[in-house]
Amino acid sequence: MTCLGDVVAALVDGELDHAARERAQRHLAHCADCRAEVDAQRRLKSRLSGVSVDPSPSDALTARLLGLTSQPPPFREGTGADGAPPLVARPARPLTAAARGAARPVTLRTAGGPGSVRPGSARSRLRRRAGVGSALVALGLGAALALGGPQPSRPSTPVDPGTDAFVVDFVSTTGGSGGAGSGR
Amino acid sequence: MRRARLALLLAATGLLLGAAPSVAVADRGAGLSTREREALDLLQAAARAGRDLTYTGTQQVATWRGPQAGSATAEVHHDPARGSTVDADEPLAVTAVLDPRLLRLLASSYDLAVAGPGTCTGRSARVVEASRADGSLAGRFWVDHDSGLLLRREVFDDRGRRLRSSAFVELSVGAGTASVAPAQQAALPAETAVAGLRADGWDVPRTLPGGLRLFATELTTPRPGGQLLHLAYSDGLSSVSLFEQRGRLGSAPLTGFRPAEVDGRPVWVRDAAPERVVWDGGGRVWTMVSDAPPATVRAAVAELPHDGAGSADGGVRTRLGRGLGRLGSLLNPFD
Repeated sequence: MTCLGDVVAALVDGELDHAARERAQRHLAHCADCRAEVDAQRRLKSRLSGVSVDPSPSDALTARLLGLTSQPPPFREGTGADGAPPLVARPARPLTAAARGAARPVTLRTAGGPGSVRPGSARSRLRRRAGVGSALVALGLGAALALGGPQPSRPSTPVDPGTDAFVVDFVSTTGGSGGAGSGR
Repeated sequence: MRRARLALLLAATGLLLGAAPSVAVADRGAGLSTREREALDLLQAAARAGRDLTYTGTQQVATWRGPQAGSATAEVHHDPARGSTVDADEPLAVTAVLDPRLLRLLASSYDLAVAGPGTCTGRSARVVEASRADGSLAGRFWVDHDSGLLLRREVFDDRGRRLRSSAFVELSVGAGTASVAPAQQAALPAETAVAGLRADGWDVPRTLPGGLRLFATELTTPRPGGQLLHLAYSDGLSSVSLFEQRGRLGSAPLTGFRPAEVDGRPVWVRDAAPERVVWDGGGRVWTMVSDAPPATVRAAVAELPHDGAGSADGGVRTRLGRGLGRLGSLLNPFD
């Protein structure tokens, strides 16, 4: 960790205000370690900006996801601990003799006491809720990114940049620093 | 190439730029050692001589940017009443004219020392060296023993490679003597002036990477409805002029420029010294003109606002924040 810490990332991302940026630059002028860290993060950012990311899942992940569809969903019958209505599972695997013998949906009970469900089912529900939550957050962020783009109606004012007059202004202003010459 | 006569009244630029109330440069000041003070006094005397004496000469100017090198010749005439006239193909800085503001920045950025005697264009000179904190040589100045004029100047990068050199190859000094009055008080733009520009929506960094510090600002209106802000930065050896204009670049290529990327963002570059880099960002078009080392120019460009690939108009965070604001506005029935 360098002296500037997280400020390095903020500096590279252009997130610092004027005062903070100037303080950081003053520090960089005298700290080789932080300067090296800023350079490294800039190079990394530059490389990342050129990386094309393939959003499709890998073959291995695809195979695992397909494998999940051939597995039965968690066998969750009866009333859960939260009082939610029971989900009647239709397992793809052959039922055991005990299950086949059941005339009605089975209310599962565990050592946790009456009304409790298997720990595995609770974890599944948590995972499902987390998945739904993540999807909603991702949807919101995606919408925000889409809406946060430049205004399409932003005026495109023609300007005349980089002219020779700017070079004359540069030499006139910085004439004391010397050495401006033609690069023929 | 058409040979243009470029009359640069350099002596007046200090009055034109940074005319707003200003504050003294905060440098090491009284902290200068005797050795540094002697070197700074010599350069300040050279600044007065360059302003107060009449002289005519020929200057050779050379620049190196990696494998590229260029040179130019300029006929220089200076009159204390009329300023300097430079006859050259391209705008050239005059070696003998030293801006007191840049001398103060030089003294605050580098370690100065009188290195010993030397010669230039057959004249006896005293050599002043400017060194970085790590001891590497950054600049060297030859000051005429008789007239006090600055005869030659060289600038080196941090690997010891020569970046720029300008020297008189012929010089004729007229009658007259340089004043002994202290040089013009070096000054930086006042905080109130910078704050005023920022309040009007201009981006005014006080410093740029490479130890470059803001030393002059000028807001002009070159055409109706189109303001141009000129910000000048220097460390005493290398300088950057940053021009801001409100608007955006068109889609057509800029004549004489090549497309390039800085930090993954598109820019237009003209390599001939002084280097020019043009890009748009934050609703403005930026033009950077600089004689600083290429790495310094790239770092400075990277720290300023950009549009285009990879930047998402100010960065992902900025875009995300703006999008959340608009999303909230859409969902708020009272908005």
